Amino acid sequence: MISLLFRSLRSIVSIFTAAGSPRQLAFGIALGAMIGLVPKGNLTAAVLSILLLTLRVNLAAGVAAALLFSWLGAWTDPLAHCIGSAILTHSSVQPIGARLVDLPVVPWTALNNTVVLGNLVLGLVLFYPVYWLSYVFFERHRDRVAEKLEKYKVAIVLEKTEPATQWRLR
Amino acid sequence: MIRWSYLRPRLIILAILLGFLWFALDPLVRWGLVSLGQKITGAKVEIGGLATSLWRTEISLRDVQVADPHSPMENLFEARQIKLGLEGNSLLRRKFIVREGTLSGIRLGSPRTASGALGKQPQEPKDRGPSLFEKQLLEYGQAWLECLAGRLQQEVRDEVERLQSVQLARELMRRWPAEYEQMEAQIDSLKARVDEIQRLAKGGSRDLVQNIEAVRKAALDVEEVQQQIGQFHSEIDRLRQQAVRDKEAIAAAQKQDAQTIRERFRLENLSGENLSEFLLGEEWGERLWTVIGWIEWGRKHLPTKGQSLAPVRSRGVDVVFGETPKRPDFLIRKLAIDGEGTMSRQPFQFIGTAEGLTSQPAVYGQPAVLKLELRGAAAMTIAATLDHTGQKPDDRLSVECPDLRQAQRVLGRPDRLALSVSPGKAKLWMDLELKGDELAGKVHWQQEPVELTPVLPDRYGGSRLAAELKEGLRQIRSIEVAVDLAGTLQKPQCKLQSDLGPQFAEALNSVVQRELDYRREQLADLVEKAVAAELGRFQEMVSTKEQAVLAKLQQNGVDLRQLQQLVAQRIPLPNNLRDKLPNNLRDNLPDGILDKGLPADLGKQLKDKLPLRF
Repeated sequence: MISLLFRSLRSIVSIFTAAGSPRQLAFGIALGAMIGLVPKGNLTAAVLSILLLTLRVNLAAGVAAALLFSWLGAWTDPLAHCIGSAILTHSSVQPIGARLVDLPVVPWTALNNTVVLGNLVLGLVLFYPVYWLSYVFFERHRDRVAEKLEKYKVAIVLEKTEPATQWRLR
Repeated sequence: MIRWSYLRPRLIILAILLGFLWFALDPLVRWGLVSLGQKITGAKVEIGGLATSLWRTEISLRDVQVADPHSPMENLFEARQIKLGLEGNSLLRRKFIVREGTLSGIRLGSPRTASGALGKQPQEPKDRGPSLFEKQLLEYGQAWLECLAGRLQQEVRDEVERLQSVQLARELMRRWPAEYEQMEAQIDSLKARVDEIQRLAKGGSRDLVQNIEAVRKAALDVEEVQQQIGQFHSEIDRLRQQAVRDKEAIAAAQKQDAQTIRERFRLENLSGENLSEFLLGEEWGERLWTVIGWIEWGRKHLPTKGQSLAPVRSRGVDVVFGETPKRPDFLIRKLAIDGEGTMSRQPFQFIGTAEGLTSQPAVYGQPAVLKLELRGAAAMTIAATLDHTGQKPDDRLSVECPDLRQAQRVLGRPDRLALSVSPGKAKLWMDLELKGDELAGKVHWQQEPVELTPVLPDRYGGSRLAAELKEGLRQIRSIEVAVDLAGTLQKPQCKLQSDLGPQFAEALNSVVQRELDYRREQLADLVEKAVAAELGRFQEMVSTKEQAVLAKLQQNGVDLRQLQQLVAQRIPLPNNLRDKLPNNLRDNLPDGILDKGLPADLGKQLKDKLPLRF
């Protein structure tokens, strides 16, 4: 529990103190938001998580956004269900869906689930707005926040315990 | 051109992910199976070891224990090893289809070292209410046996005293002496009166008129006494007739008593059909509830059309494309089963197969088929076809047991009426069909050879009657039971037929009838003796008393004659009055008395004054 708290704090601090462009940070947050919204336990969430791990984005920002949007997801589920239901029950989707679910691996994506598809669509729709807002925020305030955080010894200690973040983003 | 500086860390991460999946797969699968199992059974599910092979798409489980939710210190079953070979192609499509599996080393009802209860309280087993045959057991058995107990516990000697004829005879013996005593008292008073008349007649006076008046009064008294004596004779005649009537009344009461005795020692014959249910109802009720319980359990855990055993998603709805999926989400095509268990404390081994077990029978479109062969003490063949492909499930269960060993057991209730059945071999055949909730089926059971020993508490005849009954039961060499099942799964109706009841009833009726006949004859004999004794005494008493009364009357008659003579001597009567004297008085007059004559005026006076009508 302590290590989890420690890791979370370090992630938040590293968002501002670690090297990396505001674009990487914003991309990480947008991707994390999508992961957070989509229900876990299916191939869709796993693919998104792998994307977060493998793409050149800020992992800490992505994890933090995923945690935040998982919590927000509870409120967006009804909306996601409506979106997913509208898409999946549309007559033009039925034949495609029937073919897709019969393909290998595809059923593991759980894209025939209204909330999974709805949240994925919602995440895709929100992807650019989240990316743009995050980009603007980090562009304007990142350095200032980093300077303030570097004054605290705790932030320095937290930053030095996370060398992986440094080498991964080079 | 490949940028290794970029690709290397990502490949490492991917390798770590695959490694994690590799090592975490078994715990994940174990967690999934335990969660699913516990959700289904409501009790602890433990897996000793689990190994998955992605290459062969196999899952192998060792030492699986599934606790009994209603008996946490016992396992519903435990299996030494479970091997499931999954279809890889289906697995890629998120379909868990077991192409072939084995479920070996199954033990049913094995004890547990730790409680298998989960934190939540398991649902209590549904209260079945009274046994399937409880009604008959309570109403019929109790009524008949209490009736029997009532008949057997009657003290014959006490009964004699309560019978009408005996009571009447006793009452006569009280009443008649009193009547005779009263008569004797009256005769005694008559005697006293005669004596008084004699005294008055002897004590004469010199005054002729006074004498004549005294004689006249004495004559009147004598006449009255004579009349009374005559009345006494009539009374004696009346008493004789009354005695005859009383004897006739006793004879009539004896006839009535004979009828009463017959009624009192009459017991409705025990119906064989009801007796079968009384004896076998409890045992068969339990057996059938067990079978019905298993069917219910199967029904509960095998989904019907429209139901699914797949875990319910907490978020969203899975949309099914097209009309129906081509394959069910979960299916066991074929599963080989072997294990051991106990039935009626007899161990048995079993092997068998289960085919077509699926979470979506409607999608699979074929019924699940279970075939089991039990070996050992309870050798039998069980075949179950569970067709849940339609709107209403259609289940069929067939059990055939040609050689079922039966331990010694007691049928019925030892505190009332029971039958100890010797150990032996039985044949069992059962065919049940369940369409929707409608239950229909037949069970046939036969045990041969068999030796029956009745158990009767003292209240119902005890060991003496039981010994006689055992002799009667010696001819019964087999027991056959046929049960017709109908009704619904929730409210099954059973009709039990057996040759045991009629045979036992015949023997019991015969023994009980003999016992009651014996008691009836004993009572009738006692009554006859008691009444005869009382009548003898009565006859003797009447005779004695009558003699005594007659003797007294005779004595009074003698005295009266003497008195008449005395009176006649004191009254000289003229010849013209002679004819008017009563014969008895005239005959008793001394010779010549009438020739003496009376003075003319006295004669005239006598004529006028004496109201003698002789």
